[in-house]
Amino acid sequence: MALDFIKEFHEYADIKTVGIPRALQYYRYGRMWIEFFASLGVNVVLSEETNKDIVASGVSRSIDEACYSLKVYLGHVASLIGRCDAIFVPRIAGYKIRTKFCTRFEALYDTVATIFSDDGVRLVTLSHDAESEGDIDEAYIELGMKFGKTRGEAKKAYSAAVKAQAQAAKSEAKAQKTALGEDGIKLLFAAHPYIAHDPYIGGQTVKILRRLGCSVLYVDSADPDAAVKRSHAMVHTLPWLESREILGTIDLYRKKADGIILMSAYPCCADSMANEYIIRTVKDLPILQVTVDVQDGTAGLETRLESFVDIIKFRENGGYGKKE
Amino acid sequence: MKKAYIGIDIGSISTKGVIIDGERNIIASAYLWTEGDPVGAVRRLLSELKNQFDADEYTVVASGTTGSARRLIGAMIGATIVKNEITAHAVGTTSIHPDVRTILEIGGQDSKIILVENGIAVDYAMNTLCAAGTGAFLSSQAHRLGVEVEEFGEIAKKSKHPTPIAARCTVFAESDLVHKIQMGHSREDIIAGLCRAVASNYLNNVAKGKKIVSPVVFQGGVSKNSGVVRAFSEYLGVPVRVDENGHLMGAFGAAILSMESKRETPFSFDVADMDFVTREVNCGKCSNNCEIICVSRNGTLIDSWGNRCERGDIRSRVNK
Repeated sequence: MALDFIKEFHEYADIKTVGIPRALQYYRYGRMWIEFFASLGVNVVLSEETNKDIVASGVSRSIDEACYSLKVYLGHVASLIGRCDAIFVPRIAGYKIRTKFCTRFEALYDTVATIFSDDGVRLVTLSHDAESEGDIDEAYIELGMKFGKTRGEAKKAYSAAVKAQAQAAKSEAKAQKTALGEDGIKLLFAAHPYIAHDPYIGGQTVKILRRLGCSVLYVDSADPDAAVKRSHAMVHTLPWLESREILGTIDLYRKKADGIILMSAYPCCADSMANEYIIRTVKDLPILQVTVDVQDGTAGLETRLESFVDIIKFRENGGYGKKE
Repeated sequence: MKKAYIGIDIGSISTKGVIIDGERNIIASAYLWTEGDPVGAVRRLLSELKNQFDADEYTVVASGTTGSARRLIGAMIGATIVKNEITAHAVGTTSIHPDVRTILEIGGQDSKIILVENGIAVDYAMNTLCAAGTGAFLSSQAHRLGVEVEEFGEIAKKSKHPTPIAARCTVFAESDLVHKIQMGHSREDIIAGLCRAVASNYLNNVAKGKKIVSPVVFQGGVSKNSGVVRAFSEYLGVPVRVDENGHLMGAFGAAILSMESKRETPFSFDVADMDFVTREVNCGKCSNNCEIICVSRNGTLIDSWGNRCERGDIRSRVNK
């Protein structure tokens, strides 16, 4: 009996390799996760960058109503089957009230467990909801201990992870500072990190914008804490952390950016509300709203981005043909 | 020899072309159906323009393309500039209506709104997810009703009580339309209702949240439908301008932009007689398997696109 308890307590101790789906919160906490598992002595396998096959397999496993980003996530999970001992699917619901993640994140573990129930996939999770469970630190330490580590070892792994994440954030902030200092048109890519940084989704937009000679500013490379603080002064009721980061960053960059690309996955419940608020209240910066869905081809996207950049250029030059 | 500039707007449904002189006067223009063959349409377009063009007086020194096949045709004719249709339309329209504040445009597959201040475009929006309320939608409904879409305006005029029709989505619109027909609504009321539905759908979707300021100019193929024009001016409460050359504004804008680029590139009508082949290649270098379009002129590859990354950059590899 006593031994059974230990076995349950160390339920992940036999796992040698953990697979991390390169989607959703990976783009927020990925550096931290990789470092955390590595410090625990667990091998990490990342799914490949999003590609057509991953999207297709995610779509086939998902219900129609799910958002594009969740479909992509499911594709990443599927691609890791057979490549690792277990797949890491966290359930991170968010922080205090009005700084939550979308319900999809709260339900992520259950969604994946249900959808892949016939595939014999083993999942590793980190379950956290600040409203009922206090700080997230404890959740990570407990996860470490489940891998058969002592509390001290788990704690050490967690602080290494936090450090790695902070370092990554620092170098991103530095890159952003350089971008802010550049001449030419600067556009704020106002989107969730899993849209903006996914090479297959937001990456196409970044590529087109750079080709058009613009520098791209990211929300998560600005100052997310200051942004959230700012957002509370702007709107009281907005429930979601990432929407607050986007909104607050727009306000922080009002004078620094020349325009905003507001990109959402279809259908995003958080954005459907937050974007409407942004469009109605931010009147001093040109905004281009783009919705992405399971689709190929970038012709429509190119047309929209090109004309948006044209409009900003013409505005600055005071007319057509004055300067190209 | 005077200088002239050619602009071509290749849309999904129709292909438009104009030639202007240095004073922005249109000296030749043509308009025909694309019929799913942009290269063929441009061949026909060029021969039509050539017939109107006085080659002894003018020489074409620059060319511009716009519309959804702008890149393909740009490669084909060796265009000086290749420009998106929003900018081309804004440039073309503000040249003819310098005081315009709002441009409404409904084409075959696209609809857009462009807001103008002091003669330059400051904001725009395009239809996002579906083609409800565009020309293609009207054509298919006309077909269902057994009338020509060109007759819509005249028929709608006779209606006293336009039938309300849900036009938010083509699927719903169609079932709503069938239902109303079966209920016994007259054809002119239904057609007038359709015209109103197109206008209200546009205002509630594409133009949502945009402040529409007069003067308003309405363009695109659907602007030829007087029923929709009337519906727009009723909804907006201001007169809506439609000009005879409204359908040419994209091509006109492309011609102006090629002139303003201050660059000159050789252009020849003979391009129509050259042998153009477009070929689709599946890259296959990674799982994205991009469909790359390769365009060759007389057997030589002149351009390629459609690749998401450098691995599929066929053109620069071949031309190395």
